[in-house]
Amino acid sequence: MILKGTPVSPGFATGSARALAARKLAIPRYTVPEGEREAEAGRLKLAIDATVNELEGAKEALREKVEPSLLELFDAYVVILKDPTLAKTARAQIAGEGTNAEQALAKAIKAMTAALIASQDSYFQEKASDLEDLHSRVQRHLRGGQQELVAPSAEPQVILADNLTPSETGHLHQASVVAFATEHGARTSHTAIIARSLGIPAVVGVAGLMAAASAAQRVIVDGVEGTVILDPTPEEEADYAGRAEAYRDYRHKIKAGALKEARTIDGHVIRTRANIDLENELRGAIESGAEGVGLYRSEFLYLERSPELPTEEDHAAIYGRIGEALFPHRVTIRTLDLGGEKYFHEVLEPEGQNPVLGVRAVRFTLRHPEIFKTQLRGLLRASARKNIAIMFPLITTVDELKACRALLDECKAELKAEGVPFDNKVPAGIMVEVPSCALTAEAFVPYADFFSIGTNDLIQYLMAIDRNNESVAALYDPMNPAVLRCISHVCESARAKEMPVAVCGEMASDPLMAPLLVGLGVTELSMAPEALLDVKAAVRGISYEKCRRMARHALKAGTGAEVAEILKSHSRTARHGR
Amino acid sequence: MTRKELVISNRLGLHARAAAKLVQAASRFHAQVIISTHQMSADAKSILGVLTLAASKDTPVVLEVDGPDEAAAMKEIEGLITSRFGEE
Repeated sequence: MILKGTPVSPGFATGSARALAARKLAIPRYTVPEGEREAEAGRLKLAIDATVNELEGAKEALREKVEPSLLELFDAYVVILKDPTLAKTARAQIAGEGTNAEQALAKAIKAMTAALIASQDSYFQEKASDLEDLHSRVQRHLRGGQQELVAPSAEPQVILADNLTPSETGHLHQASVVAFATEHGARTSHTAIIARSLGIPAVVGVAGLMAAASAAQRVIVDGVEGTVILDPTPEEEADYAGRAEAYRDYRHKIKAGALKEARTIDGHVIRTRANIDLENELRGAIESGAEGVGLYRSEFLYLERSPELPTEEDHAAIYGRIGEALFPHRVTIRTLDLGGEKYFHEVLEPEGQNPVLGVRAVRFTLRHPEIFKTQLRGLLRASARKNIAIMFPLITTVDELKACRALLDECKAELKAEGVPFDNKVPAGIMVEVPSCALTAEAFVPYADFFSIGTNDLIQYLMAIDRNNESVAALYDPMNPAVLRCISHVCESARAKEMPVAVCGEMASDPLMAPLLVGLGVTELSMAPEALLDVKAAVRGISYEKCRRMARHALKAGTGAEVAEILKSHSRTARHGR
Repeated sequence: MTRKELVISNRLGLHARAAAKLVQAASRFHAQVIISTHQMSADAKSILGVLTLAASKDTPVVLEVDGPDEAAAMKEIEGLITSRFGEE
């Protein structure tokens, strides 16, 4: 039986099926006679202690293997279990009313969850399901039942579950577990992140998995396509054994090539850089061979500081640290690009009905030169190493770009007068994401040092769709010829002056699309760090000549579907070593 | 009993991660640790209590530590708060 889900961690694995029972446990209810209540409270304490030990064990198993911030999650759970309020509430229940330990725990956890959610701390509001899991863990200990989720085994095992929490995933980490598939869950869940960093293939959101799983003996998990095959035929097993090996070779090869540049077969070099929001993403970017940062979204600095605004020192410090970490590679910092998103209204100013078309990005900062100049001065102060570039978002007219440059010049003059060192030739470029700018790109060339095409917004504006509105999501199509023709025009305009053109939208992170972008004339690709290895490999596996041919072909297409066909026929060979 | 006035100076205030660190530290000692803002007091060994304080950046807090190891406890917790919970 073949089931489909969302692939969240790539790779292929086959093993014996190990279905985990649903975690919903029936909670017994009875009254404890007065003389035994002390012992009942003791029973609860033992179960809580055992759970704490278990969590600490899971944390140890993952140490050194995952980001430290994921480990802090376990600390937060331990702290919740050890909360004296929890113990006190439960103990009072047992002593006062003779409630059994299971019921007392359920009540106390319920009260605690409600209180944590009410505490206005978004961290816990998002983690309500994890608290649920903590609860079932203690309940299982109270039952004295089997605690090991998966017994070590000599044979490869595939875990099938309704859903997995990070602590469970931690337990799964043992040599015999080769993959997992869950009925629920999403790409962004902690479990998916842990699976990726452990390198275990995983598929989540597999509808109907648990109903079918109980009878299954063998399972194949395809973490590339998102398929789960229950009780595969010998032919399927043989096929996947081959794929697993090819994939291992491929990973090995691209890892070895991480630090090499993305050069096509015929010697055309494409710069590959990372998009980052937070400093702690730098390590991953450097390890994946990012040649600098193509897009640093400075919004997070503002959001972190809200309701206050970051100071010039804040700006200078953070950009300086990123510039230092990646030196001598370049770091392109995008100036404030907010408005439109709900949370920002509280920080700056209220918006009208249609915020993505309203006052945001440079439309906002040009109206608030004091806010803009604070950031520009900070940027200049961080530029003395000569590897910082400044990027203005949402540029719609040439006049806006001129106004931004005038403010930048003003800041330079001030800093010069103050004797502060900075890079006088700091490159200043623009995000090309508004159709008016893309279609008249040549008019912007004299005033910009580089272009960076923000395809996510460009597509949204070209296709007249709100990206956050699910009912029009199907219209969001990066392969629509209108998008490709805009990109092509921007590249042609820049080529005359040999100006670099980057793409920093999601298109750049797709190994299928990257060769097309290269063919259209894009010189730099900037993407989420985890996409770098695959995109670099895709560029290395193709000739520039072929990319050009593919682009010429695609520009003549009339529909997105035709473009998809062209890409498919051209790049069948470039994918995951198949 | 030892008493000290401090200011929460990390950017995010006593949010979940910082609160968890504070509770972990306080729980290592026998002494009772009470943390108070102008509005309320909480047991620093209770994550729920600490989160309920909702102490944002620049909130002044009072630490009251009482017990045999109060000096060491105060030193450790004070260090955590003044080092901004290692956040930056």
